[in-house]
Amino acid sequence: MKARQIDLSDACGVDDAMRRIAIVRFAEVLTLVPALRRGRSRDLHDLRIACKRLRYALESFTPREPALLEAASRLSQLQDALGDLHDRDLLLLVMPKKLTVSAQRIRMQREDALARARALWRDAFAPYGPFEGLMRFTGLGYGFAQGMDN
Amino acid sequence: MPDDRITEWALGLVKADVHAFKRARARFLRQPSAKRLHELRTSARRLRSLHEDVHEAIPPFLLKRLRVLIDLTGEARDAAVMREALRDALDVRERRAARGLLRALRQRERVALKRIAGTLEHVRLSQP
Repeated sequence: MKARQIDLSDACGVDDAMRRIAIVRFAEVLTLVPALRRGRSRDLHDLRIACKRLRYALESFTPREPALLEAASRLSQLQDALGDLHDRDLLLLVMPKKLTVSAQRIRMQREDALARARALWRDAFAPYGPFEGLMRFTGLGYGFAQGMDN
Repeated sequence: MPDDRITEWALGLVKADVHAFKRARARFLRQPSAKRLHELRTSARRLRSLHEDVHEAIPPFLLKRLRVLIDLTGEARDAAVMREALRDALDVRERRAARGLLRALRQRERVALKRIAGTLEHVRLSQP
């Protein structure tokens, strides 16, 4: 999924510019997060890319806004879990059909990675959890604090 | 970007990311390895991501080259990771049947690594 362009032409200073960027990138993640429930490969890949964009942005903001560090670190973990899943999906696509036992193992690893990603996401919204600073900074995500059913 | 403070801040971010990219590039060219490939790929992706956030930060010609480099590092990385994952999950009874795929993945990785070294020659960044 292509990143949305962000208009900073009328931003009032650096803090405002950072906030605008974080809002757009976090909104992209929140829009794509139903992929965790559906478990479809393509959607999960898009979510991983959106997490990466948000994480990189937050990491470059942390010298000015240290409260975002925890969210960046959680996004990195989430990205790792989704990356493991994506690697398995790619592998399953090229594996010869006769590797049935190995393919079954890889499918199980994929499910483990998905379960890990779901748990990381759910836990991120806990009170005083890793996304607390990000939610306060952007004003987004409070509806997600209840979990993935949103 | 009319606000000078934002321009200055964005340039600072570009400078830091360009520095990280140059370091990763030099390390990779000196001695390619999976870890150094990962560093190179990450630093190139960070630069591209920064461009997506602050559109004016990176000149378009450079962005095009970064894109090529990111694709190539992705190919090499995917092949290496798939090979590793397949080896880990491989059932002993299926070893023989997997040989061809393992070989093909190794070859894919080798070709991509060679092309990366060639592409890096054209991705020279100057500090803003």
